[in-house]
Amino acid sequence: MKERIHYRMIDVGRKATSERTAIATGHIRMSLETFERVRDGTLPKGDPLRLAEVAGVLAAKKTAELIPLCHPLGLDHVALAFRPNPDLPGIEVFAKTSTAARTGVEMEALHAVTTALLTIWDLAKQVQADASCIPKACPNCPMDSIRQSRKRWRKVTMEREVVTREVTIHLFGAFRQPGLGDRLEVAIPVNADIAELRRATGEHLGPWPKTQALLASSAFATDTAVLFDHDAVPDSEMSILPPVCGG
Amino acid sequence: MLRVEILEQSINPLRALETCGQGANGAIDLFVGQVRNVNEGREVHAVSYDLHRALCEQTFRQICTEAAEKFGQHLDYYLAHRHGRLEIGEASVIAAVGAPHRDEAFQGCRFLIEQMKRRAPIWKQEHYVDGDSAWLPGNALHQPA
Repeated sequence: MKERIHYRMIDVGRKATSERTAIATGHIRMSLETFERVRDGTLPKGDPLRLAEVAGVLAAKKTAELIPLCHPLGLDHVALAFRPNPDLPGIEVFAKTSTAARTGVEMEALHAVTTALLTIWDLAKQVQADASCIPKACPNCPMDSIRQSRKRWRKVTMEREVVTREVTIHLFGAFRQPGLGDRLEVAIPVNADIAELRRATGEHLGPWPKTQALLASSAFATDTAVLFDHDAVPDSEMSILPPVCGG
Repeated sequence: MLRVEILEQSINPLRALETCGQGANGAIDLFVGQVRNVNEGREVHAVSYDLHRALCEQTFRQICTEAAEKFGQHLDYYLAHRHGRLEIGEASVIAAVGAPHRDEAFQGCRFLIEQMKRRAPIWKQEHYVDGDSAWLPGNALHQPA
């Protein structure tokens, strides 16, 4: 009897290397009660979206190890994005992968989305099962229509970009530490107040321990006014002013 | 007249006298701060001033405006500070007030210099003879939470 070859991996050795990007999306539905806890990160097991982001990146990197005929390739970038959608209710998950290779990178994007969705479900199922909202969902995680979507990625990442913004903070006096330069770029949530800006600045200044105590006694200011902890961070560039000692 | 200045080059006290020397004034009080060769027992050979220029000029103007409200709109006020590195004996700050009589001139001038030290966003780094440098402590512009 002639031996049959059941599976064969495509030989891409003769193809030229090119830059490739893939975007995949999928979503998971749940009850409104579960949805709110998933969105707010208040499930008993923890914050599902942060964990799903990590899970998606790990999954993209492992794709070729788990999908038998998928070529291993070197990923240049993996990014996940999440859009809580109360109309489902549920979470839309997006993954973007890119590489320079001889074969496409869409399997990695799809694998990232699938694993991110499963991670959300893994954290949510306890609450969802108690609520008995989707009793038949358990054997097959209630995610559907995983598909590639470039347009939706752009929309969601733009929505996400609105959530945080970068503020330029000019440094003076004792903040001029070696290796620190004369300014910082600090990411803060939109609508952040000065207290939040102070916390975010502290994280940036982590490698310069001498500046931490100074930060607590320093004031944030625009070019026209000193601001206080409850003030909103304005759109302009900011400065951080250590205790003053002119004269 | 009201004049405030942040200067990269040496301060000339004559600028202050010009600002405050109108004919109605019978008195000009002129305060000059200069770089001292010793601080808290350490020998100093130079200092560097860092400052936030826009906010500093605005604060100077605000202090002079407050002085005018307190001591008289018809008086003359001058406040100037150096920026950058200064050697021993160089003038770092000048405050001056011109007034019809000496009492307002003395009081106004004291007000300018004291407020400037407490409020203006200026920072002083001392360079010591032993090669070390240090930024000096100062007055916090906000109260820590």
